[in-house]
Amino acid sequence: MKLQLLDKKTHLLDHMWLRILICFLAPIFLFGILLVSQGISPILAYKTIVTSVFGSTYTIGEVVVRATYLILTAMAAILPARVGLANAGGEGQMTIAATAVAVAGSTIFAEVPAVIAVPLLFVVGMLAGAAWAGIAVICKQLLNMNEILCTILLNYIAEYVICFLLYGVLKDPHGWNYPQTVEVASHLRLPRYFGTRVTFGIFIALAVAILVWVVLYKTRVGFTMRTVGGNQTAARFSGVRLKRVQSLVFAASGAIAGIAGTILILGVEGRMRTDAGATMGFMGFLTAGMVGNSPIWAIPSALLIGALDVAGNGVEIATGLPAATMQILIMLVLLTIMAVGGKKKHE
Amino acid sequence: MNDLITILSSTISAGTPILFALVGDLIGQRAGIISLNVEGCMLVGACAGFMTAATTGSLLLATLVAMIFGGLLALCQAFLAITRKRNMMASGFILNFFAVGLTTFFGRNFLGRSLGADFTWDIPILCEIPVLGPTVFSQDPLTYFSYLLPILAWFFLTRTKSGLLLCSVGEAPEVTEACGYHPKRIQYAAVIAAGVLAAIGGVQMSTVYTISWANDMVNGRGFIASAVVVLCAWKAERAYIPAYIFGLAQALQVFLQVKGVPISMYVTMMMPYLMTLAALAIISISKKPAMPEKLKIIS
Repeated sequence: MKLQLLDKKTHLLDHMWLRILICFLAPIFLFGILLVSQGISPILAYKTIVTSVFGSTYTIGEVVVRATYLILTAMAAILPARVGLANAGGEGQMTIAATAVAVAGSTIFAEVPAVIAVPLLFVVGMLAGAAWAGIAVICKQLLNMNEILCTILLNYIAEYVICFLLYGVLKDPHGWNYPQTVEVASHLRLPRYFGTRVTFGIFIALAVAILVWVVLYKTRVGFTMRTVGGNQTAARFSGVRLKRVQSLVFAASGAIAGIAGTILILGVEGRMRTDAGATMGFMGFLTAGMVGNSPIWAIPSALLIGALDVAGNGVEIATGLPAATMQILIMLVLLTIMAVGGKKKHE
Repeated sequence: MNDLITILSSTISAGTPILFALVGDLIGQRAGIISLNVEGCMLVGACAGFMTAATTGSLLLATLVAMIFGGLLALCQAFLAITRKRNMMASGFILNFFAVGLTTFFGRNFLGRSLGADFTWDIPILCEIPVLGPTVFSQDPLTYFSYLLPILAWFFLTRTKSGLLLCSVGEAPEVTEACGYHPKRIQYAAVIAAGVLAAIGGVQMSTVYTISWANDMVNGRGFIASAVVVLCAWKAERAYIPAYIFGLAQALQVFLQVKGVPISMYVTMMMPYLMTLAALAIISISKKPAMPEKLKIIS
């Protein structure tokens, strides 16, 4: 046992604003050094980032489109984190759901009026996402396997399952041999706004984020969840059925990732392609990690990561660097937050 | 017969990167830290190693450079997981994306470039043995080293004082501290060793196995390595079996594709990941292996 009383010296990093300033400046500085080392002007790069994000209504719309997926996949990471589990499988859950929705929307629901079909398609997406998450639940709860490793492996498996289907049975016979499904019936697509690719999906994403916050902080269920996340032994002694709560929450997070997949298809894409929605699940996990799994703060976090992702294309055109370069900047932000961020309350 | 030799030979060269990462992460896990970042370290090693080998033509230099950068990435993991006490799985996961970004950035001019060097080095006399000769003894120096690696790691972990100290940190760091050692320093060393070994695996992969650099070429092999440490029950001498089983899965995938067997390549590409998941499921049903005490807290 350490004497906690003697341990109370204040540290420079205890000032929150200083920490936020470091988290903001250090990545920009380090990334700048990296660019200079390759003979690229950082000023040009940062200017490109700003213009390619705020350049027009369309580019801002692109940020919102990405933020839509990121908010949802972040929620899929936040909920399990609150019951002491980590869901790194948002990617697989989202894309499997997208494939299911693309198939359902182009076959059985193709002739059904939108009022009935669209809600049902959301149900299809949520069920598919929850089912894929369910595999991880079985691995974790029945077989006692580590859920992070399981969900990571399941992401790779999902990727190859989708490739197998898109190059095989699901390939559009009139699609010029591209690996993609038949397009979803046009009356089932979500409405777009402002001449951008922003769809009704963003409102769904915001509603889900608020709902997650309300459930977590304003309901009995949420209180139980936070008890489980805070102290599992205490939760068990107070009569919570730990495994049941964890399993249901994990499946629900799969369903939320499934909503992201549904919006991907009914919103922007219209059909499933092999790289549709790629990295949005991983980035959602990081979006959540960046703000310490807070559902409300995940919204600005998603907008920031979405903006940096959009900027990648602009930077590629302006400087000739690969778009993945922006990933370095995003990860630098995250790593700085991890390095200088505050300690968790229950530590 | 020739098919058998092809399959065996590529089983070994496909299994070697996993063997390096597996032994590396195993050492790290014995000290109580899971290095999910071995995936990233392999990628950094593959990229830095390929760039060095393509410019200098020296495998030794390539390996040294890769070890340095793999070690630096592992240092980040050590800092976040040990000093800052972050969730070691999350920090490792983020570092992998960091590695993907960095290697895509620095490796962009080496995409599609040929290496212009062949590092295969037949061991004299031994390479004339039928079957074994052209498969086991007709590889590159890094692969020969990998044959010894699990035994060396076993000897280190169970027969030397430093190795036992390292294991004691994974079981009961208080005791290590009471004996007058620094558990955190030992953990730092273990995590960095994990990254360095994984980086050597990366070099073998890009300069010998694929002989080219491609973005994100490690593609989950590091995660597989991290996962199958459980299969070895944290015993280094058992690392051969899972590593070469996954090498075999990959060798068969290429083999079936070349032979035109009508199985979708995506099904065969999925096999290593599916096998890992299935193997973990089976081991968890059969018995609970002797897990280092410190890892029990997080799993």
